Amino acid sequence: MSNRFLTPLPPTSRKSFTRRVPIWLRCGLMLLLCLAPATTVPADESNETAPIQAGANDEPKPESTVIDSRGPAPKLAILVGKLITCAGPNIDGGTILVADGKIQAVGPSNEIAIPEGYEVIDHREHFAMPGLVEAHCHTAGSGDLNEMVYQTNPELRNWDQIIPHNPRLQVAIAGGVTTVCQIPGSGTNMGGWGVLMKTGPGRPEEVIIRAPGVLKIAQAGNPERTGGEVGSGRIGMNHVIRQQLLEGQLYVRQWDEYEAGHRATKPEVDLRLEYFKPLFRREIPILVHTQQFQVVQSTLRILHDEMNLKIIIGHGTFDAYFLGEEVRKRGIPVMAGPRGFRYDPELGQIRGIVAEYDARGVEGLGVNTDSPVIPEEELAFQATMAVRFGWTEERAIRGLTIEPAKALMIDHRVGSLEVGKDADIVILTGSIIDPRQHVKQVFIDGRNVYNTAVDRRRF
Amino acid sequence: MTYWLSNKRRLRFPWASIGRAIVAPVIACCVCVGFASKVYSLEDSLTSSAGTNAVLIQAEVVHIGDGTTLQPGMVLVGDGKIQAVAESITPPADIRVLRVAELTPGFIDAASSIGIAGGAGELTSEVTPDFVVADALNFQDPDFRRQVDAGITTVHVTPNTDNVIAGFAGLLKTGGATPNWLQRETGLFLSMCNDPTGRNTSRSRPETLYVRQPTNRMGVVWILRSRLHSAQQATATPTTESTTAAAQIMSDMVQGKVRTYAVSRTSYDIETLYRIAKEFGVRPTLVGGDEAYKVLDVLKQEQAALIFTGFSTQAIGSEQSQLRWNTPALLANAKIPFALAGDELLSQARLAHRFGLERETALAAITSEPAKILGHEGRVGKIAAGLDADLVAFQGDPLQVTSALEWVMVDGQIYSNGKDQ
Repeated sequence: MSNRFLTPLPPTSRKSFTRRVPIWLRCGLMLLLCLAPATTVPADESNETAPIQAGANDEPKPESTVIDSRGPAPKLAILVGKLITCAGPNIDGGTILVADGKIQAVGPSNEIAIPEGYEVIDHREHFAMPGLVEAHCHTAGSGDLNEMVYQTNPELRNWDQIIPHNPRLQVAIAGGVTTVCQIPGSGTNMGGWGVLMKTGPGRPEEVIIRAPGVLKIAQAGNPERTGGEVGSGRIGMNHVIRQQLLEGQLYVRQWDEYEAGHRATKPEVDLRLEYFKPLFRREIPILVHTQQFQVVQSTLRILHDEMNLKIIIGHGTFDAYFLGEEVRKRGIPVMAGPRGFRYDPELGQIRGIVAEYDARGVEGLGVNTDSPVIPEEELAFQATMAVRFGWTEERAIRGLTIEPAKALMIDHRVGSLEVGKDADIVILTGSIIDPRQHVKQVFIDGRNVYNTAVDRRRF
Repeated sequence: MTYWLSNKRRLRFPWASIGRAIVAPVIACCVCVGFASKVYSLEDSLTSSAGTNAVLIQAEVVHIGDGTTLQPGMVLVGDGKIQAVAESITPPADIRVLRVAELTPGFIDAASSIGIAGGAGELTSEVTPDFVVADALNFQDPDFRRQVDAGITTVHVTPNTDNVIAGFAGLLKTGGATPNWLQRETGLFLSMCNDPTGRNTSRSRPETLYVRQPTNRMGVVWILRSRLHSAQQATATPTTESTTAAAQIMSDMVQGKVRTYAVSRTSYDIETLYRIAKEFGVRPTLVGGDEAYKVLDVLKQEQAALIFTGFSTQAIGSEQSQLRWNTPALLANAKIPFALAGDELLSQARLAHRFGLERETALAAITSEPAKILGHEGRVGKIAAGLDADLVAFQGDPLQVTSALEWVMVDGQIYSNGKDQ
């Protein structure tokens, strides 16, 4: 199938609100809005989706748009011009059936009949792709990122401080981001346990995909101690990390032995070490703040080879890509960034980090924003820049969706448009890699959470 | 300078001493001059068939405190208690009769900080469950009298929020006997908010040994969870060794034997509080609730009661929670029991009414609701026979900003802008 990502669809003829509505009527409408009586019931959060500047940015409101609510998930038939599933070849003229928040069917429109009772949403002029997955986010909650007293903090978790659908996430959605890995900072060697969550509205329990989502470990370049404790340099910090992991490993081993019947006495529950269980059982990965050749080397050596843990290289920047071959051999995913390039003094040339890993055969490749370092909504730009430096567009789109989903071990839920997965769907005017295109509509769990035809265009 | 200071100080005293020393008819004259537009009679009989210090109050409106009114109404007081409440009561012989425009119960501040001397929190530890605020109360603090004059007759004096597990609050009257306890130790206060991190933050790394966990909310959550977990384990497998008072309190807490109050203001802290509460089977009463309007369904689901202190023009501390003036009205609409608390209760009720809270509900939020939430509705919070005679008399509608307080009664004793009787 021909890849015409970078060829945007021709613009359709549409009359804007400003052209269709006479000036006197527009003035009258604005006046009415201004004079709307003050009410004692608050402007509820959903007011933010009201057409604040009707006609300023986009076309008029269509008749059949589903506005988000936490009621029963609607049954939708979304017709699109181009379907990028991230699970096979792209499809020209596709249909996605959505029910109960999941994808019920996806494929060429001529092969999928629309059943009775499905609301048809016509995006035949637009592209559809899976919601973007951010592997490294700090903007989904309050600013409580680093608990600084102890050098390792396996007792800390961050899902008590998430703020679902906060203003920054609302803009992230407008950039197509529907899933984020919200993690503690890199102020200490072990910052605590992060959470995987959707960016849409809901109670924490409703938006969380998995908690604990990942363990945050920072190996160097932030957690260095200056107050006279062990961990002033990399040798000491690796010692501290290893000691903490060994403590966790011993704890989990005792429980594993007990549960397998090889140990008579039940170990005591140690709340501080409990979340090491899924980690050492390889059910969740470590998101490692690691960068530079030597640091990534010790990541591979200690966390992967020695501890046999699932890991994600969380920055992998500077000259770390020279280890690409070693990373590939171990099948370790790299979610590179936020800095996506390096000046190579020998070549006298700017090199793209992701393209360098790609050239060395690394499979699980993606990008990150480390938001707010780069704004969350600019995740796709990170991939665009990686393409600018030599990555392929097709791999870049996978690197925004299915590859981070696999790395985070949630690809059974998100990352591609496949039957049975969460209906996290981004509708946009063309390829997400082309920065001239923009997101038109976003569905999370089969519910509309953003629609430029109704909302202001946020990004 | 010294002269002026002493002179000013002396100005405070004559009211009380004159009130005690001069016979009642003289005062009656003064009052008549002061409030010439009112029919106001004081008689000097100190005993009657209704008990000592008996008085019959005739009001155009009696706000019972539970949302109902009597118009007109009479309240018979004697022996420091309310003896009878009715539309009409035949005055017992020789009784003193007071006529007022409107009458409410004394106000109850369920989250007060008055009268604490020498710090309301311990600086050297985050976990101090065996600390008791009552031990640091200065009953001579003039603030108590200022509370009386503002109609606040009962205060729940709470520890501050510097500690994660802070210790016990106390409930007492602001007037009457000294000290006038309703309950010396009401319940254990927790802080599920940013406050305990305040003194432990450092620019980047901890610069001194005196910086402790928590430096952010993750640490607050951990301290709460770890201590509750330890208490649960200690309760499940009690040791024969002597248990400390603190450990015993924590054990009692996870078994539901002591009341628990928890301060949370932001929506996510409130959700976290109930997540932790569920994990360890405790049922805290929420204090704070600035952003309660964002999580009304959570509060409803948890059958929460809220001591609301977020009725302010500015967000508290570093949290910068998003405040809304109509939160009390929204709480009432959602049928979530709540008290307005944190001083200035009359102003709070007036503003809450201004922003949509129904009139009698606004008065209930500073009278019967805090009494119920604190578990002392059998003593205070309503104008009902058998309850303490804690009353506030107004010259007009209590919720009108221009309506003056005429006098305040605590346990049957009248405080009248200094002219106590």
